Amino acid sequence: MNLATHTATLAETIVFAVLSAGVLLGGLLTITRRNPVSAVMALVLTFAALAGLFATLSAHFLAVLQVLVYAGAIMVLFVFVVMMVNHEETTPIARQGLITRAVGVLAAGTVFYRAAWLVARERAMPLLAASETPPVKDFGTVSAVGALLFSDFLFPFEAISLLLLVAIIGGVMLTRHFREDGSRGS
Amino acid sequence: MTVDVASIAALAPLLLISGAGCLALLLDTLTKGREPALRLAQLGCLAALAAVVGQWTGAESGQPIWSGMWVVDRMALFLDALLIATALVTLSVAAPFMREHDFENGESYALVLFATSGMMTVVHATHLLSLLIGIETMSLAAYLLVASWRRQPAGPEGALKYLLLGAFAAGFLVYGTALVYGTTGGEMSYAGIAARAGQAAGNPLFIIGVYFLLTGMLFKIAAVPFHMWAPDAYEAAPTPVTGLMAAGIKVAAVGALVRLLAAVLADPGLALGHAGWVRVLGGVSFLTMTWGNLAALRQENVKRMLAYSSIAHAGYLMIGLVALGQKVDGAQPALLVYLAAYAFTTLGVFAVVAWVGRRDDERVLVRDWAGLARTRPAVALAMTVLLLSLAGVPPTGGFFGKFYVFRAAMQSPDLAWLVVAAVLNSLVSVYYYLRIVVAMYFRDPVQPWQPFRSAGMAVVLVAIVVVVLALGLVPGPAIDLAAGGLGALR
Repeated sequence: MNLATHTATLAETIVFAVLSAGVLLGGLLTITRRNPVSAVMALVLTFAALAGLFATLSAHFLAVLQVLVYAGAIMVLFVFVVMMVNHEETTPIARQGLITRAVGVLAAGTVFYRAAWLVARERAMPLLAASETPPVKDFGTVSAVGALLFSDFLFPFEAISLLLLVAIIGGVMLTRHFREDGSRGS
Repeated sequence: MTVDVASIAALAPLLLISGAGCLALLLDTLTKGREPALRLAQLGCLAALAAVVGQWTGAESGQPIWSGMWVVDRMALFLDALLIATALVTLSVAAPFMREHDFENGESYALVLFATSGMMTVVHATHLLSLLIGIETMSLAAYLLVASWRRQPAGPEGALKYLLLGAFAAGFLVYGTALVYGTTGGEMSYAGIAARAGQAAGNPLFIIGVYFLLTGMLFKIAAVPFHMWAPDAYEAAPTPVTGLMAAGIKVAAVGALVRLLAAVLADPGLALGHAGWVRVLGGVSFLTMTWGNLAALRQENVKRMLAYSSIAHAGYLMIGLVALGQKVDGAQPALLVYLAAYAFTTLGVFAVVAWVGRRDDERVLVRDWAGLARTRPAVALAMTVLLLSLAGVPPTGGFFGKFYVFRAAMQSPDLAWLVVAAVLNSLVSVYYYLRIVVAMYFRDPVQPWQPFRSAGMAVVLVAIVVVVLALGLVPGPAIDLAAGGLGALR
């Protein structure tokens, strides 16, 4: 292995480690912060680092979308909602009993142990199988994603519009002013 | 792939149902009353039912179309017909119910149809992506229908619990999909997974992925220990919607599980983990029926009692699923007949519960039902027949559903203990079903009251009782129809 490829591999590993640490840290902070604004900001970190991971996997279009849609639009919405329903003190969800928490810790511990065991095992046996079909030409570009959306994934692409329609109806239904006399609000 | 007329025509029932939903929504904004939207929605159901019947002859062995996303086979069409009938009953019961409780809105009619199109996508799906989209469409519409009854005090809590736990379940589905995708070399279609399942079987990540997928689906059929949302959501929902959730969603999810199990268990020697999937799913089945029945014993609220009863039924259904996974002959038609009997009976029971309540007086406690046989003998008789069907007493459809499923399961030596447990559980369930019957016939009414009068409800109820009795007295045709759905999977 010559020096150039070695440096490239090392750089890849470092970038992956930094970005993964960002994702994990952001996720942890999201679920541990009491202040909703800090939690939301931690989520932005997760999304941004995730976009970086996508970019290192040659999925540039996905990375851009991740930043635009999740780190951008959806987070603005989150912050907006946090502002609108800002309570003086955030009431944490009632602490469960000791047994429930013990079961939770036990379950999480088991999962963590299993995951660690798998990572240790990965060296001996590859866990992920390689695809039989080679990746499409121009993988990760807008045109490649678009071509897939309108060919192989046409049915889900269309079916998801129905899902979005239901979501829109839901947004209107739930936020519509509710009058006691039962008539429809405007 | 190319899109041709044939592949679009294969979607006809789905397009008719979702199209009718969109049109009903439009019509509702253009017209004064809610009646036109309701009629249009019902018309859409009838048209879709006709389309399903039209597709029946050409669907002996369905091949996946739309790049492996969708299949039209006999099983899917059988379940389609069941789901569309469920939607029709829900619409017909929901209209007088919403009028009586003063929250009639056209969106609910459209949402019932959208939920149904999601369920249809679920039973036709041969790809994890189309499965996920179908599940989400169906669930999102169901969350909204639960939340639509604003005056119900428990409404927001039940809807929120349902939404949060449902989103959690969706997370399991997505994560499971990702793990299966990664470990099978980029396969998400059932055919592709089936082809690679043998190689991937020893891979722990594949096993975790499959169990995550199953977990996501078991949430939807409310199997223990993923049942916590069910009693609250069923209680909070408008009663006709409870019927839709208990019947439609369970039918759709079981239909999807049939296909999913056939795909991931394509290799007969597959164990999926140390314990083996038979023991895991069998154990979940035992827990589900036992927990459901024991919890139902203690309920005073009829809707909660029926919620736990539907959890118990999910347990019985899972016996059929395990038998199916073990490639037992006749398990699939047995399961389909059980689903048909269960769906119609459940719809009928919740229709009666919807009928009995008046505005601001929902009448959901067992003691509220005292003396119903004196004021409305026909309603009480219908309820008795339906409850007996839920308990599995002959000559009702519920008896034959259970009989066929248990008989199929008995062919597998691993499942004998489960069948014994299920029969014992059925005996336990007779107690709480009969509590309602005893209240109706042998108790004096606390205060006199009348269920509201509705011709539409009466027609629906008579039709359901006839179907349930017909399934019990002449089960032959139903079995034949269900067996027609066999081709594609065996």
